[in-house]
Amino acid sequence: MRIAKRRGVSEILAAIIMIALTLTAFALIGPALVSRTQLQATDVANQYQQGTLRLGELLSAVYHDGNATTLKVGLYNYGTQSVTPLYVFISTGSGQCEGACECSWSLLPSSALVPNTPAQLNIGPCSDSGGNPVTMGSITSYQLLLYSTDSLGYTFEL
Amino acid sequence: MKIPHSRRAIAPVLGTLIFLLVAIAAMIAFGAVVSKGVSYNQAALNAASVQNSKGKEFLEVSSVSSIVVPSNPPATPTCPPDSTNVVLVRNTGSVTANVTYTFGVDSSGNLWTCPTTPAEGAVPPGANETFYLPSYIQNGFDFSGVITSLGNTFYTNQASIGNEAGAPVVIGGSLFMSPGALSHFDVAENPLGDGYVLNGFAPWPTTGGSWLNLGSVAAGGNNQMFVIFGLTVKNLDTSRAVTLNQFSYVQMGGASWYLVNGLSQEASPYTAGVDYIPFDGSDPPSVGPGQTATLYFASPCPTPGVPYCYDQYQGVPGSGPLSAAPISVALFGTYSDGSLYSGSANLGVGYYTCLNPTPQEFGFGCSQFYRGTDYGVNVSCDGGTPCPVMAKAEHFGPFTFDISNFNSPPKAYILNQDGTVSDITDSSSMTDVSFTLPAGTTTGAHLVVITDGVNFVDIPVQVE
Repeated sequence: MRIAKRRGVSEILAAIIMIALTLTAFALIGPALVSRTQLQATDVANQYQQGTLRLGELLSAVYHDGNATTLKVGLYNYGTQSVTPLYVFISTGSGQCEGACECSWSLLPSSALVPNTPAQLNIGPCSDSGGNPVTMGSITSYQLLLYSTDSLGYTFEL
Repeated sequence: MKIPHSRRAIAPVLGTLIFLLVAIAAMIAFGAVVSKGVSYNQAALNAASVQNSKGKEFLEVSSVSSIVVPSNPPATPTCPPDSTNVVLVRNTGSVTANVTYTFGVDSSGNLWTCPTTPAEGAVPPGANETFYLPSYIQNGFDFSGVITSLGNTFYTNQASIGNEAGAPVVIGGSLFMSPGALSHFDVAENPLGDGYVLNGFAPWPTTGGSWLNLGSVAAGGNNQMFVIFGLTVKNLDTSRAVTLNQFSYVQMGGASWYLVNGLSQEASPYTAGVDYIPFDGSDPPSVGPGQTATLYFASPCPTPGVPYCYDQYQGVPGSGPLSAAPISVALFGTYSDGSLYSGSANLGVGYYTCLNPTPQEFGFGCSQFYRGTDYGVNVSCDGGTPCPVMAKAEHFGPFTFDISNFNSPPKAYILNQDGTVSDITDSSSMTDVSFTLPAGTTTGAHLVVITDGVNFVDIPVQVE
């Protein structure tokens, strides 16, 4: 019985030390781990959310008028999310815009492509990669590249 | 036994608490991920469904042309109810298409759109539906069409129906279905200073006369005008029956019209606007090869006990109508072999005033005129006695004759080649009033005006 009593003190001390170490370790590492786990979870969730939004961004071209100095393209957002254009490029496959020419643009009736609402995209003037202006009236067939503010790209063969 | 047990209780409790904390945090994070994942999966499924259905959506869009063209069209279009540009949409795909917008692109490449209402936008597979494009503008549209909720665009193809064998044409206010191109009428100001005229531009074949009955019904003690239209449709195709699917109308002045299954069903008007046409009691109506049928339609009457009347333009008893306006109608249907037809006509409205219980009906028909050939113009009174029609020819080239002087006894006259008129008979009807157009007669669209000096009925004539 005496031996057991001596060993009890040691067990108590050992338990206290282990508890202290565990609490200290948890206090030091736990928040970081939890934070990291939550951050990673948030990242995954955000990726899902972004993907969900992108799946809801659906654009189609209604028409295009390529015989004027300003190219005009009718666009229709048949998705569930608004699309706000950021950059507009055209690519003709040959000539001055064989690669891609960045163009100034305007969108009617508003600056965003609202779901289930047609809009008219006026394109031009454009400039090539060297900054030289492009003769717009000669462009009748082209590829329209539209990049939105949420880093999505849309391509239309017109 | 109790001592060791109590000593060891702290560690398991703390361990459990820590485990629970970590587990809860993990579950929260996991739940958020799962929730977003579910949303993502649902969005992916929706997107896949949209793309899948998108590829199955096929619409055939045909225009009836501009059945009402204002004499001075605006530079920018307007949407219904002001628009009168009708298109027929037939769903040839395997999924229901929801037409969300109609559009037209002008000569400058500008997009003009009109939204459709959800109730009218859905077109099931195999069904036909009519929609209104943006209204007619100066120089018209370079192209037009409809947009669906799935982002598909279908352009109007006027030639597909117009050049199709068995396509309908419009003759003198009567609607015919016959091989040939689609025809249309335009409405312009009446050169005689009252009402409107119908300028025909119909590449119709010669069909012989038929009849458009413009009638009125009685309403004792009421000074409103009461009109019932009977539109005779003749199927000139001798091999195929045609089933009429839809009826559209445009009323200048905004009056509402109701379809009537003959006068016997006056108490049960059909819904205004696009609806089935009760043709000779069959629904949907059908016209056999080479046969004719009559569509009746009228406006509802606010007077109790009077089924239909035209109350948009009230006249003073004995003085005739104060104003007049035409109604444009479009008919759509399907031949027995599945091909489409469509056609339109403009009908004069408000040209007749019924101030007494005596029915007055008035009919006319005409056919295409060719120079150097004798033709018959049929003008008759179908139901009214007396039929107050007299005629005189004023001049040829542009070809116009004027039947006037309603106050004289009803007579029929020969329209002579030099523009004079010969009295041929006293009759309640005039039939086979023959004349010959001289060889030098100006080709193109001309106009026949039948008038009593107050009221007008105008017959478009195409000289080729």
